[in-house]
Amino acid sequence: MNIDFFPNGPAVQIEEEMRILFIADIHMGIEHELKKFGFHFKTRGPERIERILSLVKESSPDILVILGDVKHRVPGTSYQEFFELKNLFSALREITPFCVTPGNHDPGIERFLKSNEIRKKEGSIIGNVGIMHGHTIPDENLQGNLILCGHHHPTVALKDQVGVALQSSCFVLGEVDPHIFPEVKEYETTRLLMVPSLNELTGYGIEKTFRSPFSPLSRSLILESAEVLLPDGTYAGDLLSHLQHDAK
Amino acid sequence: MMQNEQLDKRIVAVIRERGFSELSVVQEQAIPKILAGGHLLLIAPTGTGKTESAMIPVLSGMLQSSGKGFTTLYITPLRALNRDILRRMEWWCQKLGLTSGVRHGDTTQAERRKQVLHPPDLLITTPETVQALFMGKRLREHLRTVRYVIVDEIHDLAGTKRGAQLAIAMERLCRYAGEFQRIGLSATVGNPDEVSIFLTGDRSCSIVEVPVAKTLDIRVEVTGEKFESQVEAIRRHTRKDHSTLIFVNTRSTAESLGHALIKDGRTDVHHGSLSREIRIEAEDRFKQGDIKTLICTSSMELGIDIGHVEHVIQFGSPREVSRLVQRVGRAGHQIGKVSTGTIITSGFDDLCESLVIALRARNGDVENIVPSYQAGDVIGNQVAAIAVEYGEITFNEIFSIISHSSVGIKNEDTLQAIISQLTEHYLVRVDGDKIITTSRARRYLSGNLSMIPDERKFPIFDIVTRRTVGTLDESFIITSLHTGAVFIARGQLWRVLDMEEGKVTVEPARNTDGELPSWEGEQIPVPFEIAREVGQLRRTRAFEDYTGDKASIAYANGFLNLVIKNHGLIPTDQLLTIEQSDDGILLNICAGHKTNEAIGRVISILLSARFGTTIGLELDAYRILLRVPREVSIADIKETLERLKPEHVQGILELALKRTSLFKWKLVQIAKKFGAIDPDADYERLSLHKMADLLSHPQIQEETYREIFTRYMDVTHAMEIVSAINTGDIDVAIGPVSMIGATGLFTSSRDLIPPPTADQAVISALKHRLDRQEILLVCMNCRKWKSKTQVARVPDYPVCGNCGARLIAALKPYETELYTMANKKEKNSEEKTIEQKLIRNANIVLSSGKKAILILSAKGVGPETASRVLATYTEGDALMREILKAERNFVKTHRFWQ
Repeated sequence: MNIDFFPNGPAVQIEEEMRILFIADIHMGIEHELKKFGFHFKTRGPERIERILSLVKESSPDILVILGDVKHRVPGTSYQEFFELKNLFSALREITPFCVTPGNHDPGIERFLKSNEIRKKEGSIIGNVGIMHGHTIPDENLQGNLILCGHHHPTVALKDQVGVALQSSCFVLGEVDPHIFPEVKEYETTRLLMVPSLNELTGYGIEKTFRSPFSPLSRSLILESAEVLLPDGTYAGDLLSHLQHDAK
Repeated sequence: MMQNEQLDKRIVAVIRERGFSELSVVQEQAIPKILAGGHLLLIAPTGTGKTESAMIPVLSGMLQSSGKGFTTLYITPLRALNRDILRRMEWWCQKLGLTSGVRHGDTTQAERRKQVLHPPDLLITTPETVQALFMGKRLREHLRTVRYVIVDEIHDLAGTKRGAQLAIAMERLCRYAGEFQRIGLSATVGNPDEVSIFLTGDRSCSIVEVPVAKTLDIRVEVTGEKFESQVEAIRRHTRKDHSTLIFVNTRSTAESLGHALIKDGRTDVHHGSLSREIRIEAEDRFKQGDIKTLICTSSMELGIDIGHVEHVIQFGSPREVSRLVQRVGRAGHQIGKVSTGTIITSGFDDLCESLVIALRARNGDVENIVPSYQAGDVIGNQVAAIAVEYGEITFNEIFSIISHSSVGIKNEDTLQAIISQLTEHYLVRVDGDKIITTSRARRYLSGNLSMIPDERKFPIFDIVTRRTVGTLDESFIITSLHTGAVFIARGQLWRVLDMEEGKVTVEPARNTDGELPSWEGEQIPVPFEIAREVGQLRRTRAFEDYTGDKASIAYANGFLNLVIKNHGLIPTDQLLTIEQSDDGILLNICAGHKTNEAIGRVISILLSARFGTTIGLELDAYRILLRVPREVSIADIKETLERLKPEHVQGILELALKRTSLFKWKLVQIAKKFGAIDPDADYERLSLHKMADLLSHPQIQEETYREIFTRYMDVTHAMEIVSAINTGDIDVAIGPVSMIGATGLFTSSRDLIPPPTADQAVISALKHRLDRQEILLVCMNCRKWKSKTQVARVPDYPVCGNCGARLIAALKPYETELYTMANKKEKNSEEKTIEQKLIRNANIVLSSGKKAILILSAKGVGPETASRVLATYTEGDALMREILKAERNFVKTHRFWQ
């Protein structure tokens, strides 16, 4: 299994028989929704589309997997989304096969996609890995695989001797407690890779996420097993070192 | 006697009725000038009849005008002042058959409606409400009749963005009323000419000034640092039962002083956090003599009428001459009377600073006021307002309004850029040369009538006790809120977990590993000149020139002698000292807040770039504290300071300012005024550390730089200090920790300067991680010794605690069992391989010592990889890069993913 990191996405590529490029949480149309919460900015949608296209060109994958939350507004679809999603998908269709694992922000996404471009939201297998957005309990078929998911938008605060030196999006990789599956197969290790969000405006600190987990997957991640990686694949310590501060 | 020919007969009669027998100096000089119709800036202390000086001739003129609409706008910075002025003017107006009214934020809807139908001749209002007048269709019509605009307490407005907004509003008013007469009323300022230009733009303006200095009697006392003795000193002064105002610099001091004094009776507290009713009640009780002592903050500086004050006490240094003059000026509130004031100081800095300020006050040496010239956000705000006012308007018309004011812009391209910024946030639309309002603009304006940056407070919620334990400022939320940030509230450490539903969720924290300091509001900065003179006073010890108080002189000399006795150096205007303290490295520089802010940041930026680490910065007017990692020595800092060239200061700051909390916070404040962010925006919706990227718009950034370089940092004086260090006019010396360094209060400004690039930040974080990495040292000689420790604690060449050998292998904590396996008597082939691996590991440690252990502690690095890294013969950051590379390679291996 060959792994490659694309920090400009952020995106990750896995190559075995097939070369697959993974991105997560594009949240197209977020600017339109942000207006309701007091932020008034022109859309950065075209820049996001450009970023995705250049990732695809750089990797030239056999397939691009979008791990959910392509759109932002729930429920409904804003004007902005309507145009930007059409632009995104038609541009993608010209250069690569792709599929979407619908996320919690994606109701109504079907109208923009062909049926073979939509995957089951509880998760499915592509190549040798499981894919899902991450807001649901994973499909039992994923047990024993490496699962890639979005939904968690992980970010980490890297500290040095004096204080926080850098805040960055990050990957979190760790084992999943098998009890998340209806039929527990103790002998099979299921691993999870949380992919950072491609949307540049959002991010949730991992500290908060794993102290009060908000999804079945974040609840089931075995903290002692988990590691943190920066978008370019730099190792950033184990997860627990970021959660525990007080000197013993 | 009243013999002025030009005053209307009716008003002369009313003056007689009022019982005025003679005019004050101020009135004598001002009235004819106003009657003559010219613009006037009138500078005089509070209580010298300034209001009447302006209003008598204005009322006289008002009697000649007719028709429906406002004739006079009287603008003050405070609602409380408005009420006062109304109370004083109502009598005159009634007698003269004129109508008067007040309109500001507290005015009822009914009253407002009445004013629309029957506009009073005299409207007393605030700068913000002037903005609102332009928004109403019928109110706008009433502006056509305006003949006089009086700006009261103009010194309080001229230096602010509120003032800049008002200056432009007066130009907007000209489009309805034509040219009207402008009268500014001011306390003493250092630069009357600039203030008069602020008032009238390029129209000619005469100035009448009554000097304040000779009427001031200011004394300075020192009480020592104990709060009880400070309270005692105040009691000594208030015992005589004179009416006394006690000015303090912060609300919390007002509260604690109030707590100590209220039980003595006849004392009350007055500050901005108290409700309006409580404040008005305190004012009234003081005025009526029910209470004799009123403890107040700057809220009482302006001329709110509280009756006669016999004595003013300033608690702690007033920090600025103008502030002292104004505060003491509240005493002896009668024409020709001397104002008596006492500054009660607590310690050495406080005493010296107060002595300098008191002398300058006696000499009438008051600071200049610098208007906010060409402030992008003010102009943006006014463009949006003008567009709402007219619906649509041409670019040239907007340019002509804005360029007419002294604070406006003179360059069409800049205005174009600001307008295009506004279109980004949907505040205006541009169609050819037409600027058109949008549906959002009116809502934006009602939320942004004021240019006063509002700071929201967020409750702090302790998740452990499930209680609210206090509030956090918005500035902290924007700049420092990330999970894990540690801050101090209520004397306790708290760690941020998150922000949810508008509150900050925290848990109690025990230590401050990687503390992210908060900053505690914006304080009054001590000006450069005063801090320099304090430095000079430390050097010359000419205390007698400043005070006759024997106790103060003895205290100051005693303090300096003690410093010398303890082998400390005394930093002066000619000597800069550097000291190593427990908290960090201290630079004692007598240069004032803004200059130290610039120097401190330049040094921090240079150090963070050179050492690739985060630097913590705290400062006040006389010292800068740098929190640095161990590898940065006091000599490094001396060298950095001495090598700095004055011409590089501005450039370094411009390059690196973006990474600081101050910049981020100002950026958000200014973005709000540009309409990019609503006042009540929901920050939970965004990742706050990305806020600066989101606000990368050129005009927002430009205004942020402009404001920081004019309001928060003094680059010119920083360059002066740096070049004095270069030429040797200021010596730099390293000294032991001194009382002067240690007495610092680091509350005014705190920030963190992260490494300049992400690459350096990652390396700095890697060092920190590896330092703290737990490691298992095992002896491969006697095979009987193992020791678990942290990499930072490992000696350069570790030895076995049992046999003294140096054949030590470094294992990860979870590899204990490998040691057991390698030590088995009977080994299978796998165990033999493990033993070989441990021996190789130990051999590397034997030859390269701690460096090998550091490398071996990295993720996935075994003896082979460690040898490869060692073979690069790199050190320092280059070595760290090799380690990062090794870890990154490991991350790509199959082993990592299984």
